[in-house]
Amino acid sequence: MSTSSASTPHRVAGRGIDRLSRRARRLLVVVAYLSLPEAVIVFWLHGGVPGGFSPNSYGASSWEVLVLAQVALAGALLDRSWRAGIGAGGLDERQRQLRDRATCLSYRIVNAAVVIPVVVLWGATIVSPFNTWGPVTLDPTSLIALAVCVSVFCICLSLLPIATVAWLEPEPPSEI
Amino acid sequence: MKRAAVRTEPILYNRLTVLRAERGLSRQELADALGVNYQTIGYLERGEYNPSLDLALRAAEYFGLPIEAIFSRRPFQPLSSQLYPPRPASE
Repeated sequence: MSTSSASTPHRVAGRGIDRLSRRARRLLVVVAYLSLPEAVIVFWLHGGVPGGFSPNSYGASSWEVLVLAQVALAGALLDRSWRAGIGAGGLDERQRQLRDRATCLSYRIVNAAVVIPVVVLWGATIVSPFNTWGPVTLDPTSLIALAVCVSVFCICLSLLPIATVAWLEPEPPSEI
Repeated sequence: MKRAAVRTEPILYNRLTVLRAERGLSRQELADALGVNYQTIGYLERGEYNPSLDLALRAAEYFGLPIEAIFSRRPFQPLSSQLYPPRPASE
């Protein structure tokens, strides 16, 4: 019976981060996806929507950096946590099963996330209070806020399978 | 109040914890021997993951035991009661 206990450098480097508790992983997912509504709010504050709040009095430009940093940091930690659990031989059968389940669930979430906004936007175009906005003009500052919104959305979208895995995976056992 | 996780697949009982303890192996060492992540061993021991037939056979081969001695669809009896079955009261 062989009992090799030699740890590869990759595995040692990943110690800790692959053992994040379920609560910590779920907290990271919530923090990452809170950036979506935050980005929309920042866009609103930045004057992206006519009739919205004044951009300068809220310091929206620093908020943009914060929102981007928030999603990037939480996303990076989730990604690192997932990758740290992968051994030198790649994913094992449980991890493959979990990944496939998460991918399947991600598609369902994306379906819901696309269908619901389309219905809401369609509703907004026919409901009168939202129909009085008039033409939307984008100045350079609004464009930056819009770019932040789109970037955050893209990061959240690409993060979805990993976030789903982080959400689904049970509490990790110890190594001993 | 904590919500119980909804389990869709049947529970497969196993003796991995006992066998690992008998041989003085850590989860990492057993995982290395079976070619899986150490967390997978932990989930197997906790009954939160059912192994594939391939992994179950690899475990049986590694421990040198028949597969039914390691995995079962019914809870295992304690080894002590199997080794020393209760004697009839008349003796």
